[in-house]
Amino acid sequence: MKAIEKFIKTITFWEILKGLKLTFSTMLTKPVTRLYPIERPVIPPVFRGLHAMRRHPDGSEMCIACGLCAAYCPTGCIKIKTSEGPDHKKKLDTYEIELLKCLFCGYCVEACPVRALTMTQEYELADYSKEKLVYTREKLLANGERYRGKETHLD
Amino acid sequence: MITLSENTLQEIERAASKYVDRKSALMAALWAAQAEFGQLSPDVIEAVAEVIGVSSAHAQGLATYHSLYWKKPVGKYVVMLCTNIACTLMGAETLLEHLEKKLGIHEGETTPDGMFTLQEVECIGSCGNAPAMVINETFYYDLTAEKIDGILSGLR
Amino acid sequence: MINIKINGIPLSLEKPTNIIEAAAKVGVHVPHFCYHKELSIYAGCRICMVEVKGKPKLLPACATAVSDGMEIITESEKIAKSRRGVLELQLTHHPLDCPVCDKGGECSLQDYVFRYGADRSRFIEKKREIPVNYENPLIERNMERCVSCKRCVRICAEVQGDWVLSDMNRGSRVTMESFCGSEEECVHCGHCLSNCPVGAIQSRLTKNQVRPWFVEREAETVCPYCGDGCTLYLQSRENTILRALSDETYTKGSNRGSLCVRGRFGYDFPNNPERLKTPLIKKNGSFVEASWDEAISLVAERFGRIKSSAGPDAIGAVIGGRNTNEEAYLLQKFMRAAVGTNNIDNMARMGHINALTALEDAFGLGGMTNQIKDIAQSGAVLLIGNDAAAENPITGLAVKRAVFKKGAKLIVADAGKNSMSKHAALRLTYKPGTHGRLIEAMVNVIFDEGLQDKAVEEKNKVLFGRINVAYAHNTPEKAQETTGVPAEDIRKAARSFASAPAASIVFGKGVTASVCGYEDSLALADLSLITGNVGRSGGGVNPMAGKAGEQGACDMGALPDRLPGYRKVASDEDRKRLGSLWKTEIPKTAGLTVMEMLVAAAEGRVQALYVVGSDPAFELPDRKRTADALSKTKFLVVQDVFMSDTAALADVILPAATFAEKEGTFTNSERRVQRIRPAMKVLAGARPDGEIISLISGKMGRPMDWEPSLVMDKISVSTPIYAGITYDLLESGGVQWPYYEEMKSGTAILHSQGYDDRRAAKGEEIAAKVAAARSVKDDIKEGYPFFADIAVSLYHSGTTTRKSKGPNLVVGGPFAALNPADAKGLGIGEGDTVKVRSRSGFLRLPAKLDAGVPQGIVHIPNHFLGAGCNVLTEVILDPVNKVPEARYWPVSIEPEGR
Repeated sequence: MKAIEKFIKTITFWEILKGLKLTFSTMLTKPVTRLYPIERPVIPPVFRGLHAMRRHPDGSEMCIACGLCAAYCPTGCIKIKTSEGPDHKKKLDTYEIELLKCLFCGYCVEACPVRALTMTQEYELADYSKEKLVYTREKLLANGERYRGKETHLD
Repeated sequence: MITLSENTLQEIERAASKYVDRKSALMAALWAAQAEFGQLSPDVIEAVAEVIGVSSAHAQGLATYHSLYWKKPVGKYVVMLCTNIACTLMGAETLLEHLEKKLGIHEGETTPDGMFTLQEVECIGSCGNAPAMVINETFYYDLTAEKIDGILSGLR
Repeated sequence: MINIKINGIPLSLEKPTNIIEAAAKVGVHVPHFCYHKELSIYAGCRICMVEVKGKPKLLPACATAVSDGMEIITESEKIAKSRRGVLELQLTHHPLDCPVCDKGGECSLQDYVFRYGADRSRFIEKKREIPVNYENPLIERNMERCVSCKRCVRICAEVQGDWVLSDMNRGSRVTMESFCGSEEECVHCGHCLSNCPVGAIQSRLTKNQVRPWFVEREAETVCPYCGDGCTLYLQSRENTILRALSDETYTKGSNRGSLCVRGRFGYDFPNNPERLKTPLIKKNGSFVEASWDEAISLVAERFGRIKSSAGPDAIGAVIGGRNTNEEAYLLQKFMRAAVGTNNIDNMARMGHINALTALEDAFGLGGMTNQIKDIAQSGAVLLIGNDAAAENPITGLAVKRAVFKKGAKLIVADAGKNSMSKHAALRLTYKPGTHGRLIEAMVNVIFDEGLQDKAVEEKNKVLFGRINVAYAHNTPEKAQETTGVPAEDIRKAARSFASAPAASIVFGKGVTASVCGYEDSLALADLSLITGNVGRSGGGVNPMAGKAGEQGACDMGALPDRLPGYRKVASDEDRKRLGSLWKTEIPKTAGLTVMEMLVAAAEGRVQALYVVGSDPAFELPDRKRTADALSKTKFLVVQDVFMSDTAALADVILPAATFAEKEGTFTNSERRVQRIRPAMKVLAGARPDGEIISLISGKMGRPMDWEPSLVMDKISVSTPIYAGITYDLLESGGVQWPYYEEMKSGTAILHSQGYDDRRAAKGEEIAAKVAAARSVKDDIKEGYPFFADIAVSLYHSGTTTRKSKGPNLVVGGPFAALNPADAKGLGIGEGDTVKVRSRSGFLRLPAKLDAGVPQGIVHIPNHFLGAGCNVLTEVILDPVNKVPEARYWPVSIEPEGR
């Protein structure tokens, strides 16, 4: 029986017909792809895109330089340097996220005790050099400014 | 640095002779120095520590632990009102307020005329007659606001 | 035998201990704040409560001794509830600022709260507000975070013996404070901060800079400063040293968890931007940067040329006290095998060598006879010519431990300031240079009163007889005249020393760095010998090395008359044996000591000097003469970490690596060979000393392996006392030479099986020479009524500490400390400028009044740039080892006003 079935399928190009069925049926449905970058997706607020450092409403930085984000980071992509500032307070010297290493897991955001670090809907992060993909404090703060008042990952 | 008087030094030596370890006489020595100077200022504590042979920090630690060592100058009469459980239940808190108002000072302070120092203390062992207080070395029991007024005016 | 069960795990114990320690043996951690095994039991934190079967209430694990049949449960719901309660009470006051607290991540309170889940307190009262104490430049105290465990107070009192901290006030207001919050008494040892279980006491050097997860690399290494050789942990990040930590288990090395200010706060000189980063060659009077190839070729070529034109003996080398054993070995091998001269010396020549040769002559082996921790077992300690609390602080701790724990009688004999005096039962202040008479008088008293060890005397009748005769002339009354110490005090000292069941002698440069250093070290050996303290635990003769590498450099044969392992150059057999190993002929004639090299350099007999890791222009006496000799040297090569006075005169400077960047071993004064390990990569441009030496040697036609572990393998073959010592052996901890392979152990106490007196050969001749040298010294006293005590300060050790931030925050500059009575007589007030003048030069220094300085002495720490005490001194050599007199020098003091 099996052999006859196989023989019939072979002479009628059954497999090809089966394939064409999908092709023709798809031709009649609405396409799912978008004409990126002309058409852009709607990014949900919980999307884990580029990190941002936030400021208080009065303009001061929220980050207290505790380094918990770096402690929690599974890839070790966050480098933070701190020192003793005026009045013996903790001062943030440098803050760097090396995006090439980053998994965008969002643990750093979870670790932040003051919600100074958050993730935004920013996803177009390609660049021409590795150095440019090390996001410094200034870049992250600027990103935070862009999302000031907007709903992000955290809220 | 202050030098202790001959009398105080003798007193300290007498106390020290009672103990195997000289350091044990520290409390007695502080007491003797307080009797001479009326208070244990850092200078006095340092002098006592030197005599006994302990560090000044150790002596200061001991002096600050006990409330009967005066770390600040005190008035002629030190009013020590018990605010421990039994006395508080019997209304010591209101009596303290009354005393503060009456003397015009806060707890731990001395009246400008140098007569009274008000101090809150822990249990003075007179719970049976609570509320109670001690002025210098005299105990006063079953206090009320009126009774206190009487006692104070009797001292003035 | 005590059989107990902890959480169902059976455990047998030989000796009773408390539950915390017993539980640790089976790997169970009982939470605790106030317990510390080095301290008295306080049982105040109440978090170590455990259940013991049959006991109705919970018991504190720290204060409960285990007894046979005990069944202990360390974790249960009942216990957790109790602990949660304790933590909640702690959190009434403890601020929840963990994210910005430096202790975050390694804090006991944080860990326990995490474990028991009492993350907030139900108490609604306002938390107390106490300002942070920033009085201390190195240590901050934030009492809001204090959990009142009093570990800081107890360690300051019981281990460090200073009792600077105390618990002030009571109840919820208690704080750990110093007297009126002042930090004058603090010696900055940092015991309080390393013992604080929370973030209440912390280092200000690392404040807000270090979090435990920043650490990329941690190395167990050895402190590079004094001869105590303390185990130290260095942590680094991105090739920068972050911090130094002590051993938390309090078990490792000679220091067992303790450190002094130098080790704990003086770790950051490898980070100093002033480090030399490229070889420098002097061209037309100024330094020009050069490549390594160029510099090495130049050095090899010039050495080669001088060797062929003026002979190998025209080249000399000196190694300092900061270099490892391997480097010292390579350097002496380079000089002997590649250059072909014995002109190799090390900076132990400044004193320590006198003690080593004296002990070798007295007992047969040149090294401290006992261990540092063994001193704590003594019943009496004679501390002479060594301010143990400042020069060798960890040895000082051992002495203090003997006093506090064993009730030992401490006899402090010193001509100058001695910070151990306050713990002393007897303080003998002798006139500078007369310590020998004092020791002799003590020996005299012991024989006179029949206090010598009779059992030992029975065995060594001849020796005892000889010693008795030798010191018979020096009665205490006679000694009183020369030393200025009352005869009765000498008698008392002798009696308490001789009557103690075990009495140790600790001495240092105050004895050894003088014209009679050898002779007086011998006298100390005699004193120990007649009281039967040689080879006895808690006894012995213990010379203290001033630098980490001094003992090792001597062991390695970086000496002109000694081969590795103290074999003699003069002995044909020793030379042949080593020569066959090295496949070369070792030169027959003994070389020059460093002092002689300089004389020879000034005369042109020595044309090239190779100075490794030391600064002769600063360290050796008579600055002018030394500098003159160095600048007359035709070819001076300096290999160092920083620019120094000597390097400035050099023709070639080779930048070396610091202790934090290389492998190697240091041998501390107690003969313990310990490994150092790199905590960071070698600074770009610099190279480890061993590599540099082998590069030069290779260029000169004799390649040598410089890999430290390979060098150690060679050392263990060529140096008998290091036989069997390998890096694998040292991996788990240091070993005290001589090492016995069959017993798999080093030797903690030497000469317990007897000793080998080799003195007889030397005899009278030396005594006469010493007397002559001493009289030279007497001549220069005329018109200079004071003695400068050229000392080591607690905060500095030689000159590398001045490149570290920490020590300089406390003592950042030179000073001259005077007794207030002397100062009053001269009309000098605190901070006035004084001119300290000697026959050969003067120093201008700010005056400091210090009642601890005896009258007639001016105490000058010798560490600071522009205030090197060698402008005051001249060269007077000890006739035996050519050690220069360098500790006390006659000076006059002139006030110059403010």
